[in-house]
Amino acid sequence: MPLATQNARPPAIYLPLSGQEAEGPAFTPSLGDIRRAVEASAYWRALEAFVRAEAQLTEFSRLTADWDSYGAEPPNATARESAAQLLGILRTSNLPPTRVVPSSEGGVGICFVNGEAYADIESLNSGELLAVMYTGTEEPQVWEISQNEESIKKAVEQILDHLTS
Amino acid sequence: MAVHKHYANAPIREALIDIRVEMLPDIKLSSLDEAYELIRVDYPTRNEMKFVQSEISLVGQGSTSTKQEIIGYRFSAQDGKQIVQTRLDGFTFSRLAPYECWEALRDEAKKLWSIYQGVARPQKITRVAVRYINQIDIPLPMRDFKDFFRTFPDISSDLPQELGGFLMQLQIPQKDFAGMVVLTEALVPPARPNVASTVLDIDVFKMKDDFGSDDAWNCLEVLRERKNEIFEGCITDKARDLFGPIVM
Repeated sequence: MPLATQNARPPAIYLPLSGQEAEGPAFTPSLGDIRRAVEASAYWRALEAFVRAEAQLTEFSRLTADWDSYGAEPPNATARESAAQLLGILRTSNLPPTRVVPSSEGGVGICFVNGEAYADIESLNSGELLAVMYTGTEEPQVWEISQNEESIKKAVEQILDHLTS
Repeated sequence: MAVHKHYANAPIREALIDIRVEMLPDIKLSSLDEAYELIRVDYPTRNEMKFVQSEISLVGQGSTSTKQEIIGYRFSAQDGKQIVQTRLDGFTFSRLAPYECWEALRDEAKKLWSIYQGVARPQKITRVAVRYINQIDIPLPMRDFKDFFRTFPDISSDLPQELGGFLMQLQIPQKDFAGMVVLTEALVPPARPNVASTVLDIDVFKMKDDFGSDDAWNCLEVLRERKNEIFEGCITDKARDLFGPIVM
């Protein structure tokens, strides 16, 4: 069917103004209903978490040296770009972060918490990527992730396993 | 008319079956939690669902109060792709991508519903819904969203035509079965570089004083048919081309 034909439509009828009654129970969505629709969906909740994470990441460009009053460097462009790439991979894997924070080591920390299970990936100003995970008071497991998509995806899978096991 | 197209790369990101109920007044949260023991092999991750309500009073000096209560539990499969919610006001089963088929979604939801029914013993079923959330990633550059969508916000030609983003929600009564479609369409942050990601969230539901259990599941079949018709009615052939061939 040609696009012009597919897009053609008759005028809309707005029931409350047309004098016609809609059959069935009346439905007037409130802000509460909209919130509830978002809360009911894992997809929308994850999307909301990613939008929040990206906004937090953007905010970090405003940090200045000694932002934590202990002499920490602010996250530089390398760390922020690498963290943004990481967020893209996390979105594909449907693993929204719990928080995105500036790291006192100089860089960005992307953190995940599920009950007692914790994990984070630090994107450092040096360009390195470090992953940490532990449960409760367990000894943390720390490893370096190579800067390529395959290694990052593998680390994300490990973290997902850790958080859900 | 039944529309049962199954695309090779369907844009479904989440499919949900939702059943709202009225409980007996003596039902306790601990009853909902009993479901965990029965499903924990397949749904090992358990999270509380909280409802937070804030009130601001402007009377006198003014005051605020916030209360938080647990309204149910969310149980997730090991891979996080299937989630069941057992709440004081109802039950929801959702499947995240990759989506298999309606039959698999319905059968798993039915199995979990019977467990929920066993522990919660709902008095009445008051609302049933089928909701599919699609994310359509349109390759850039593109000429016009209308090349892909037949339901889309119209901008007056007297206004600038650049679109930075949009969120549109329509409530469309379904007279033939006394139901409702809530269609939410929004431009969301791109899933990857060089695409425009648009969400088409189709929520088809029906409310009634009391559905019987069989009646509720029969109604869900009707809602699913309507969801398919709405989806097909919202997109163009150019969008269909993005979803690959139709498979049996």
